Amino acid sequence: MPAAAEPALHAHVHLLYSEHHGWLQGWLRQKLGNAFDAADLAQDTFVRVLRAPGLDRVEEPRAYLTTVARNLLINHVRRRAIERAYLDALSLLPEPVAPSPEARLVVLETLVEIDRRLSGLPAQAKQAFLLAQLEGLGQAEIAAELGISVSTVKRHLAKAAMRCFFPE
Amino acid sequence: MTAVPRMGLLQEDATGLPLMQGSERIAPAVAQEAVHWWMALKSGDTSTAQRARWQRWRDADPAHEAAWQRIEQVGGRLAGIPTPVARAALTAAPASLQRRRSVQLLTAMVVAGGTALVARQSAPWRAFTADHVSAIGERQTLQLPDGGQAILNTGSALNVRFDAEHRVLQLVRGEILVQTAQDATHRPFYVETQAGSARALGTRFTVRARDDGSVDVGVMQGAVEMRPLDAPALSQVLKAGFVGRLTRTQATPTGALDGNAGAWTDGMLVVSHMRLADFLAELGRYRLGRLACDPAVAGLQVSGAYPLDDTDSVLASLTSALPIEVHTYTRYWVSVRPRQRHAAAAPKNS
Repeated sequence: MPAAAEPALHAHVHLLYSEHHGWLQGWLRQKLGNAFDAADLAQDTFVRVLRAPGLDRVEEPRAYLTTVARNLLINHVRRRAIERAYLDALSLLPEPVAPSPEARLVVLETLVEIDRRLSGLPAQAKQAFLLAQLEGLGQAEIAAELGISVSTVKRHLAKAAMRCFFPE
Repeated sequence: MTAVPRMGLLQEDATGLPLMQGSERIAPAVAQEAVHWWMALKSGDTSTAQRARWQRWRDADPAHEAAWQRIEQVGGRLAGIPTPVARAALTAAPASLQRRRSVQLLTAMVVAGGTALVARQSAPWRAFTADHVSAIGERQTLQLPDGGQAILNTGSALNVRFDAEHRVLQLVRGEILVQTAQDATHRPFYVETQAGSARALGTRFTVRARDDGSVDVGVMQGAVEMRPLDAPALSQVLKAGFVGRLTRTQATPTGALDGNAGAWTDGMLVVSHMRLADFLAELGRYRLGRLACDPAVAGLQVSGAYPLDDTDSVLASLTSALPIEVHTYTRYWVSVRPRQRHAAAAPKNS
């Protein structure tokens, strides 16, 4: 038997969904120019919202929904950009290197996650970190490459490494 | 006012990949120490004593080892990805998104810019879905349905869109040399690019899409009409023996065609009195990874005919002709610098 509060919550959820789902999907379609992605993102938005505690206390459902949806939208756009850059770069590789679709998905998840961790860093700090981590360049080499001092490189690396290795 | 419940959007996303996240929390002080060690080991010259101290630090406390494992995990995940690919993906994410400082501004930007971004870079202009793709260092010869020919240069992507009315090649990336054929029904022949189109009024020409979005056209036989995407009225006809540049708003004749412009179809790069920096930029198109040029040697002059299929030996031969040395950090990161006078041995490229 469900707890006493649950039927009320269910009714609330039902109301939220039936009253705003179509509207949210329209809002997303306008932002994305793509009905399929809009339907997916609207669905994701509701999944998130329905899992959140305190749902029955939301006073302005549409403002709340768009806040959640906007975050998903940013992730979506970034993910698309990374995916495109990744696949474009892959297509430049000789055939034997091309990974299977499953392996590609794993790589894409890694790239999206690393990108998310490094987002918000100054461009130069991100660049310095990638030169160290991906290219294996030493600090003096990075300094020469970016035209900055070694002490600045160290500051950049320390900050970027904390973000990338130990996201809070 | 009831607070909108702070849902765990960020936290939820921050959990990231299960494989990249241990369950236990790392104390910030320990994390700092681990980062300190990571930097020390990355600094280039690590002594045996230093590595021993690092090992002692890891052994001293399970929390230290756990922190170090986080760093190893990220490195391990990235290690499986070819460096140029990882670099392209992690740096090509929309730069304008990253530079905005405030979250509000960022949101506004994405919402306003998102549509354009998604729309403009949609299907036909994606290299990975193109009909024909050549890898770095590869050339491909393509027979066209009308009997003509298109040769793809290194790192190029092309769609072929022939129908009852038009013959269209979409150059998504890179460079092609087109040899058109007489068409029985006289369909017009276009090469479309992101900057505009080049209509063939003659028979043999090259189109090259540059990384900055502009396009170079070179005409060997006949003539080509360059038409900017956003200003079609400003089209320009380019005659044989001339080169021009096309952007979305402008078509400009830029000079005479170099007699060696098509040498790449024979796998050669032929130059005379080219600046070293330009030469390396050109050579870099034919190899994976980064080929950097020190500004101190950028102005040196290069002349000669160089085989494109073995860029490493081209670099090696340059070091005997010019006062330069080739420094290979990694397979994918090569830098050309002034030769050090005390350099004992010639640099090796394997």
